[in-house]
Amino acid sequence: MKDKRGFMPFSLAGFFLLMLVLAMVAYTTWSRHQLATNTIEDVTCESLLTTAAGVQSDLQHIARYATYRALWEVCENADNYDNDDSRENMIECLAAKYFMDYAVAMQQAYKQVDARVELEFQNPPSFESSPSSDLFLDQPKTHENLSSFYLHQAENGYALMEVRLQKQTRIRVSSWDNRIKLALPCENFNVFIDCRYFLLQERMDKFIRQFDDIRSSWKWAEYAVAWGEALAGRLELSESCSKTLFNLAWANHELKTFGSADYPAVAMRLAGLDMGALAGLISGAAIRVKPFCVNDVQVMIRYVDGGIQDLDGIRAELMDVNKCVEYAINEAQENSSLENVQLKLGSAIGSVDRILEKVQEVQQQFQQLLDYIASKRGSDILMLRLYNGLTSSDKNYPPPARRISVGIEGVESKLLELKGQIETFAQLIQSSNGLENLGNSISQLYNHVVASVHDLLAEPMPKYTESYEEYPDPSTYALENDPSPTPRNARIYIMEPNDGTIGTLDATLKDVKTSLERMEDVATDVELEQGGLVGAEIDGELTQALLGGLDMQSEQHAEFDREQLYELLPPKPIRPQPGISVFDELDIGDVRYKRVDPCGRLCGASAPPTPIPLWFIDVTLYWAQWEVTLELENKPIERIFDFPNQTIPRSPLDGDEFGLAKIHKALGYRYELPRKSFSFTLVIISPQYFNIDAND
Amino acid sequence: MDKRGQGYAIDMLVFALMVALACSILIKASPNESNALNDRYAANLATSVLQTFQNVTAGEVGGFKYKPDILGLLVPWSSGERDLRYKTLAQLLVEDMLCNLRVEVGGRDIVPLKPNQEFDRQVRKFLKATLDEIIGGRFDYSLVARTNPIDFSPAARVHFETSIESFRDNGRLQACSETVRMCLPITQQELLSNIQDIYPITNSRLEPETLVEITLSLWSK
Repeated sequence: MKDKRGFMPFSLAGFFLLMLVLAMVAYTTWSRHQLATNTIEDVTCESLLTTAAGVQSDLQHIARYATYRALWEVCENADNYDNDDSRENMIECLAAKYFMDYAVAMQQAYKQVDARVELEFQNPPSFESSPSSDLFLDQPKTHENLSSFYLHQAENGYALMEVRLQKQTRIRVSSWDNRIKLALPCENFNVFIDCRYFLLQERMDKFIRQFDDIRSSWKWAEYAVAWGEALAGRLELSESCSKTLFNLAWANHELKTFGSADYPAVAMRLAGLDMGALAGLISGAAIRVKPFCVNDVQVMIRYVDGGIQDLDGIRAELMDVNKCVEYAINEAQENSSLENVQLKLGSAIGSVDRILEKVQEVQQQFQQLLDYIASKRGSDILMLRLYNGLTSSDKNYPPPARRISVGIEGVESKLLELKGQIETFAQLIQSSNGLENLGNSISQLYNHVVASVHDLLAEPMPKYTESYEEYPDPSTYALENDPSPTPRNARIYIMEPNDGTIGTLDATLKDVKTSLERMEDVATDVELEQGGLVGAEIDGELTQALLGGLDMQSEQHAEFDREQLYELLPPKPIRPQPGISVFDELDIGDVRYKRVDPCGRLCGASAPPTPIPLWFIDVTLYWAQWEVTLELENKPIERIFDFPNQTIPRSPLDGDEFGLAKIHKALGYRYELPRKSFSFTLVIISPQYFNIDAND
Repeated sequence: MDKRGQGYAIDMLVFALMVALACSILIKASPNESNALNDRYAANLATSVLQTFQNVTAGEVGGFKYKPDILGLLVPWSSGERDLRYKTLAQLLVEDMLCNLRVEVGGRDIVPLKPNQEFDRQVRKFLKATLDEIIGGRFDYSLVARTNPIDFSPAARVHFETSIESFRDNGRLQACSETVRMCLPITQQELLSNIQDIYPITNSRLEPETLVEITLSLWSK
């Protein structure tokens, strides 16, 4: 080789190098492009799925708002429906209708805004703007063109809407270049509704079911106040007081059912009424609304009955004594054996001893009666009166307890005398040589014994008589009967020990028993009239809330009516559970008191109470009775709000300056109640006289 | 220098030029993979956040309560507090719009209007706290929710727009932006009726697009 230079120039080598680099870059760029293309497709797919999921979620949202709207409209007139099922059906139908309204608008909006998204309904139905309920209720839910909504109860009274869209409802989404298309079926889903519709419905049903409890509580409150006044000596039934108590009773029923009451309203209503009634009710919580206890009276009667039965036994024993003595006399006259005569006389003495024991038992029975009453008298005015009536007297004759003890003393004395005569005769026989020597003594003894027994068993003769008048009992008193009193005579048989016989004791005990039995009748009548008062007391928590409420000077918001104000700002419930706010509207009209006891009927509303003299126990009961009727001006309205869930966006007020503004409100369940009249019988029977104030 | 020497010199120069050209091509074409990965991560995150908004309830992220100031009322028996723990985050945004739609005439809100501004304030505060927690240290963000303006006359329209941002510097390159749309739950009749309470309008002039756009944009820190 002649030329020793390189086999190629540097420039050629550089050119090759440049070409190599260009090839490498071209390959890398192509490879990256491929990667980017794949990535874009991935991202597009993800984006499309997100969009589809968003539309699906949006459908759930509009289903929720459709349900909100349906719930609101139906619950505003909850009383328009016969039962829970028809109400729920209406909610389902309205929700389906509103959902379709929203869905159709949504479909059009997506079409305008984003051509990639298409919501596909099979033949969406068209509704009138104001559908009648019949349209929906008449249509079967399985209609293929109609979305079906099914309302279910979730936990704690919340609602769950099951949505079944028409078959073949699809969400179609495509990429911008139309290369990727997705069609997701969207037929069924569930939507949780954050309103406790079922709780409200269930509580309102309970409120209506137990509506008569309002009357019972009102009756209880009237009784409590009236008894308190009667015992204080002056009773006045006033319309203002009754309205106060009725408001309280209504609020009490609300509190028991809903855990709260419309306490701001009650406080406002009470502000114009008789607040003394509320104060009296609170301070008089210890007042016994039932001064008569039938059981107590029955126990007392049992003690008296025990004494009467003992006296019956004594009568029989006395007849035995008589027979034994007669038998002994006959034996003696027939000169029978001495042992036989002595045996019979011993038997007669034994009988007298038993009679003495039984007389003591009579005394004990009566003493037990007194002890029983004494043990009960404490703060019980009736028992105190009864005890005083039985044990002390300022009249011309001794009280029953004294009459019984004096009578028993006399009877014992007579029995001991009888026993002494028989014993003397027995000793005489023993000391004599033969029965034939006792001729006159025998007949003398017999005459004495017969006279003593006859005296003890003689028909009682009154030592003192007094006249009094007796009105018909509440139990026998019928409104159509003549309420005029009947004249009666009361007789006293024992004034001193010598008056004590089995007959006078028996008559005295039976008179006491008669009075107690009359008292039992009265107690039974009172208990019957007061039936249902147990458990009807006004709740102390309510009175406390009201006392708090009375201090509240709420501002007057003239631009709202009270119901609208509650929609915006429902009152905080008294009890945290179940957390329901309450609105009520009741205009109390007239309260009428019709006096129906005999004196009231004969002499007018302010006549003194009718006396029921229990003459033989020296107690007089004073009876007054009214038919009380309260009328409401309009049908009362009850509305309850789901206080913890103020979640439904609504206009603050319809058609006002708030315009487009919305505020979250609680679902309100509104019910117009049909009942307008409430009545009960008020019976006051007091052992103490009381005046009655009334406008005749 | 003779001719051969000149040829060598030119050859070397051409060679040097070729090498320089090849190097510059290589440098220019070198990939910046880290940015691409970051952007894709950002896009995924934005999508996830928007899905979270649509599915997670306020109760699951600490709960949401507010006291409306719309009424200017004070009553002693009620606190007026609303507890919206069962609403999803997206629902809160949509209801914020529903409660605060504005009617604008000639560029000014017309009076009297009493929008539920306290709700708007509290929603923004709550969602900002939530976004800070989800996105916080990784990206700066801007969440914009808006309705398409509903024009019902040449000068009047109904609209709403709200935004929640973690920063104010708009000069940087945006990593991603994702949008979801939701239906504003108000019917045309209701909207029309509400507007007519404050501004006379005929039905034919109103064609509402009742969609709300929620856009989440992320920026690298």
